[in-house]
Amino acid sequence: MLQRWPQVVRYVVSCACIGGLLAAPLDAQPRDASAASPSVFTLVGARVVKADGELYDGLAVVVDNGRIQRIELASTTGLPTPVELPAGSVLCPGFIELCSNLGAKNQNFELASPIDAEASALDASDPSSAHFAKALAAGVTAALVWPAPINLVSGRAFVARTHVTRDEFDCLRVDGPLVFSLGNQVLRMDREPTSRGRALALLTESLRTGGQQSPTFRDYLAGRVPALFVAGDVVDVESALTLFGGGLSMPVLVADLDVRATTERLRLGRELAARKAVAILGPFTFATPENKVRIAGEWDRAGVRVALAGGWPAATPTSLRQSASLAVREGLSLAAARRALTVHAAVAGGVSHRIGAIGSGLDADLVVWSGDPLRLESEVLEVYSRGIRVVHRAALRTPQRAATAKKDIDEL
Amino acid sequence: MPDVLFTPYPFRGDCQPARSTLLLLALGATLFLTSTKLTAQPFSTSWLSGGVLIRDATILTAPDQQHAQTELGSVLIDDGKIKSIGSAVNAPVFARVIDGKGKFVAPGFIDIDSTLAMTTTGSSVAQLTARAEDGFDRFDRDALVGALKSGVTCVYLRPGPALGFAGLGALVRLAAEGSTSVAIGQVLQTEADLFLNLGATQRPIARVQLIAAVRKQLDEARDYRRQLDLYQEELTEYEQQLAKRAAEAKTAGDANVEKKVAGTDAPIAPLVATDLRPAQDAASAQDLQNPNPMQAPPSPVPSPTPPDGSGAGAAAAAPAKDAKAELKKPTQPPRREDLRILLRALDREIPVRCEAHRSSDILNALELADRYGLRLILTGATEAHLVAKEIAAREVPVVLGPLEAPLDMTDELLRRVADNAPALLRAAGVAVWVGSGAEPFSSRALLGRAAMAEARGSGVESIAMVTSAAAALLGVDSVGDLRVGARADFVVWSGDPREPGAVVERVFVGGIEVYVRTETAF
Repeated sequence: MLQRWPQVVRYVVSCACIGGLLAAPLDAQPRDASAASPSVFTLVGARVVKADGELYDGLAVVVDNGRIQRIELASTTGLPTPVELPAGSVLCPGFIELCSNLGAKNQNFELASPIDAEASALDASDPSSAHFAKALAAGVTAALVWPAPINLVSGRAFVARTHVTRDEFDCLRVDGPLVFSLGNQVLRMDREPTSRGRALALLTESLRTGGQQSPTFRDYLAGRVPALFVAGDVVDVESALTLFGGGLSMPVLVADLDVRATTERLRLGRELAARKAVAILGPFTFATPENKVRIAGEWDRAGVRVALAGGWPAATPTSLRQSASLAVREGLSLAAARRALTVHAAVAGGVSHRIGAIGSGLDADLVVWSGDPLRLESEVLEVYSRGIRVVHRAALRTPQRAATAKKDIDEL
Repeated sequence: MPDVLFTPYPFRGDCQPARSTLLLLALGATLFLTSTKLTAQPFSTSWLSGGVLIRDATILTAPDQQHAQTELGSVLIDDGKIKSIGSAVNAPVFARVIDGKGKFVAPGFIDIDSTLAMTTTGSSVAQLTARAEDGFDRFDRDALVGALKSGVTCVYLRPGPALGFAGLGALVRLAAEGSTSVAIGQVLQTEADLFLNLGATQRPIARVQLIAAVRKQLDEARDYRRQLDLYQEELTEYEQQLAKRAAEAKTAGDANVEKKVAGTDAPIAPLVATDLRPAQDAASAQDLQNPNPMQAPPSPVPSPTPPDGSGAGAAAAAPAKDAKAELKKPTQPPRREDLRILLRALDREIPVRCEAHRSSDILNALELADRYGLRLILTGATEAHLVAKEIAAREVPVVLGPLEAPLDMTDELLRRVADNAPALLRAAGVAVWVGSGAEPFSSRALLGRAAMAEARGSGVESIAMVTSAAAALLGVDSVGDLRVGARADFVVWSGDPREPGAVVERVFVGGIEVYVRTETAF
């Protein structure tokens, strides 16, 4: 028996080596749900949503190693590995959900201190949450997850892809945006600030001295980290315009304004446009008053870059497109609505250099829709994350699932 | 030739126009107007009438309740109805013409599940006699205009959210007030259906108690029906007996008269005038005690009572008196409005619209329909796909509630939503509809929800679902379609209403323009 030990050991080691060699390629990149994706291929046959938000026919998108290499005419010969998309489909950048609590684990906000720039939403998010897979299936390839904005400075949000592998986020940005808030939700009785005056004073002080205390503040003040500013009222917006003047870049405005006077809405839009502001609006539901929804179109025409939020995870998978559809009905143009879900959303999250548009050099986070995504009946056909197809509609409606459904009906 | 016709100036010396000149001017104007119309299209015999013509638009209809179709043409409305539609429409001389180039004309949408402009939040106590129309604020301009801006001209309103029999739903049309163009709610049907709410997330014991209470009410209604039937039988018999007595009295009275003619000295008794009085007084007294419209009117034929006590008359009256004492008018059952409503449901005069979400509640509703012969419509029906075969076997229509669940699956009800429920139901043979749901401004959601249901396999095109198919479900044929003779309830859209950028430009209800988009073009 003892004489056989060396043979046994060699046998086990050999098996382990072989297994390791086989397993190594599996760890290189996320697996495709269906057939293996080539590293260089061309998507043809669909209308393409370009950075201006318009739909274009006759284009082909070449993907090379997870990035968009170039956009060509579909009639160009010699395109690498053409992948024919269904007739009538639309190829769109993956949507970006903003100001969400996807994967939030327990409490992701700090109550003790009104100013906490170092708290990070990433530490309170669970990548194994089912939210992300559902978001991906709904055509959202990235999400900005933020700490609940109930403090003057609530901490850092992060931006990550919704395609999560091995329970780890594929983060696009972890250092921010930094979240500022002003409005009734930051006023509390158990700690400062208890009044608006004190809130403004604390915020002013933090902007003046924050760089001495917090690395994240220093990064923000140096322009390396973007910021979000949550405003609940017109006066909050006015305060933001004042606070963030004098060299400080205007943060992205997260606005939930109920302004009935059109002239007032237009005036605010002009002032924000003059500061080259980006505004995150929504989510809009069918119960949202029209004057709230009209702001989207009015500010877009004034020159403000408008992005839309969907209100996840409390909302339905179509809520993001529903917000866009309602905004279109109240005056936002179709192209602006598509920009609001893609390129402007990427700007708002500080990741426009990576995602948000179909452009050369950007990551190939793409979605194939059955039709214009602004039509609520359009459905996701395919989702590409870093150039790899991770969602295929045939897989969502698997023959097994359909058979199971029919079996349920027959048996009941 | 008369000088007046050729006078260089049209006026006489006293500055009064010549009569003949005025006649000539009127004739010339008429010929001019007629000729302009003649050059545009063939001569119409109705050239003197007015109306409204939407010209050269794309007409969007769904006559087969399943598929939408489009055709280029014009729509002529007059006197509140569609007078002519199609590619060859004669325009009356004085018709108001609206250019429809590039526009779409569609029937006004019908929201078959709405709480539009409902002022009451609903009572927790179920009342069979509650009416949705009583909670409807007909003058809530914001809500009504919001609905019109979404192309909705007709809504079904559900009564309050109380559990059990919650009351009577109403069908309301957003029509013009009188001859003005201000839209208010006009009730088309005050008792469109009986609403039964079986709830969604109660505990099991509460659900058992609720179903037991519902059965008890229905059994009580059946008992009430038996009482009414019995009363009717007894009343009929009583009237027959009265008639018989009257006939006997008349026979006895005639015999009395013959005797008089044959030579008796007794005066002819004034049978009718005198004898009527006591019986009439008795009947009047009875009416005062029980002035009920359901009560049968007193019999006009009294029991005869001869006043003079003559032998034959007395002999005839005595047995009549005794028989009258024995004859007793049956007592009518007390009037119960709540049971009367249940009887209408049991008689299938009105459907029972049952809100049930869980599969067990849906099965309970189906069992009620079987047991009591109800005409059932299921609404909400979150888990209907799990019991689709049972629903299909009874041909019960389903009005779906939530179509998708939120990402956060904490809601006990919404987590049960299947996003392919329309396809599963259709595969089993169940007809599916959607309304806008329970939010007050959710008329805006109507077409979007119909489009989502279509995309998820309902088998009914979105325009059809909110027009002709909805009208068929509600049992009204005067709305929901564009055809000659139908009510002129239609909407002019800036483009195809199924496209995201299309907006409502004009709404006509009953031929009157109740909404015009006033915002400047974007």
